[in-house]
Amino acid sequence: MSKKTILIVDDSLSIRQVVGMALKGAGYDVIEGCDGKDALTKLDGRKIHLIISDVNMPNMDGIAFVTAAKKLPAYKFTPVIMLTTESGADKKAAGQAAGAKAWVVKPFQPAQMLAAVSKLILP
Amino acid sequence: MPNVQNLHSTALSSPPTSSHAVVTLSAIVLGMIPAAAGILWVGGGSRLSWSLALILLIAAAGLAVWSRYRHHALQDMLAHTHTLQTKAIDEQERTQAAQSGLDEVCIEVLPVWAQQIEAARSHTEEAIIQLTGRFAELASHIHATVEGSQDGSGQDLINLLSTSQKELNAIVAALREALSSKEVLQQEITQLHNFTGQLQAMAKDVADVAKQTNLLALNAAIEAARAGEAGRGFAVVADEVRKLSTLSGDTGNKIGETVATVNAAILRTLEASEEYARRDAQTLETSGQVIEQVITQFNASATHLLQQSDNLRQQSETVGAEIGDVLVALQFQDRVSQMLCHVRDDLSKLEQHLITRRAKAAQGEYLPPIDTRAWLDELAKTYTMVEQLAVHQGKAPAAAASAEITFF
Repeated sequence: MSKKTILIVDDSLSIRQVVGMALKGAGYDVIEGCDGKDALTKLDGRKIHLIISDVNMPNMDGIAFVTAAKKLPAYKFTPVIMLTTESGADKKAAGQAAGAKAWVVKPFQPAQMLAAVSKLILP
Repeated sequence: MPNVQNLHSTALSSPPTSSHAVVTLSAIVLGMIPAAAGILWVGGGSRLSWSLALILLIAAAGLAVWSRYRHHALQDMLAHTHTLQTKAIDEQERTQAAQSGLDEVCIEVLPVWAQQIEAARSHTEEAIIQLTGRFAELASHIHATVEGSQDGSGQDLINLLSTSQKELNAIVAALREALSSKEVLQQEITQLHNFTGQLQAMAKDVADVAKQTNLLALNAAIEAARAGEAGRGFAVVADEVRKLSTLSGDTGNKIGETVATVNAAILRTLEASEEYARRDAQTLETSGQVIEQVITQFNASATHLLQQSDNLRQQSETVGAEIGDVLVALQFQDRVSQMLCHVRDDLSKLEQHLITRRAKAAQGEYLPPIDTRAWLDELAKTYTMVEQLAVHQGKAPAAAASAEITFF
């Protein structure tokens, strides 16, 4: 059975490394985007089973990225987890409206992140 | 900034309104005297006119006293007001003097502060990224090591030793069986030894029979000799029988000797066989003990190795978990970076604001005071974390909540 692929979008390299390590350790393939604009270039038709995105990023923030991603037919149903320092209700509502399925506040525990991933990831 | 020129002009141009009032009241008081005289003259010196004139004079006197008191009070009040205005002007001038150059300092120092914060943030970020990368690599290696140690190699070693022990025990058992077979052979040889004894007895019997036959043939020859010519033929037969009995006796003796030789050989073989069997049994016993000892030692070593391997695996797992915790802790860099970015951006914003104000002041535009509350409110809107808001509100920064997950 081939590995499932997860796209990590965060302007912080250290966060991408930590998330990537946790996911690779659990047997997932990982691709990275350093902001929303860069991540959109990774949505080139390849199969992506889940997206984990930060909110506050330069060039294109996470809400705008998810909104744009959801307009692409190939990724319309790809589940999205927002991973951010933000915990305000209005931001969460914006994330939900954009199409996110979960909101994880940093700092995260890898085990809990993996539990959320396994709950939401496409079969 | 309050207009100092206006304050100056207001203070210096404060009108002496008390003088006008005193002049007016003096005129009224002075006017009352001829009025009292007029009342006396009109009244013709009547009691009523005297009373009215007296009342008028008393009123004039009271008014004069009150006017004088009022004049002093007004003078004191004006003097106090003037003193306060002078103090206010002095204070304003001192404040202005104190603030003189503050804007310039801010415009120059704010970008320096912002750059210092950015440099510190950048250095921290680079260091944390390197740390995270190395820790992630360490965690990956440890994960691979733990995975490798769980592939059953230790159990394979135990299984191999167990199999070896069984096979060696089977060899020892086969050797014991072979030894048992040798014992059977020994028993057969012993039995053969017994048979040779019987053969020797039979050979002796043959020799004895031959000896008796020889005596019998000798007697027959004697009897044949007594019979004379008639017994000549019988004498020949008797002689032949005697020769045959002699041959039989010799053969019997030879058989006996041969059987004795064979028996001696069998005895030697038996003794040698017993000696070999004893040695074989001893060797087998020693081999069994050595095999058991070696297997036990190997087993102990393998078990020790396996325990060490398990300990290493457990320690590796513990270290891996610790590194995981360190990596979680290192996520603070993202939060710190965001906080420093907000401070840096606000410093830059203040710098730009001061530059704009300076430009407007140079053009003679009116500069309203900076609305501190509005500035702070704007700053608060940029926050993304609860601890930023807590610090902003003067509260102790709450520890970052760990992994708050909301599913939509």
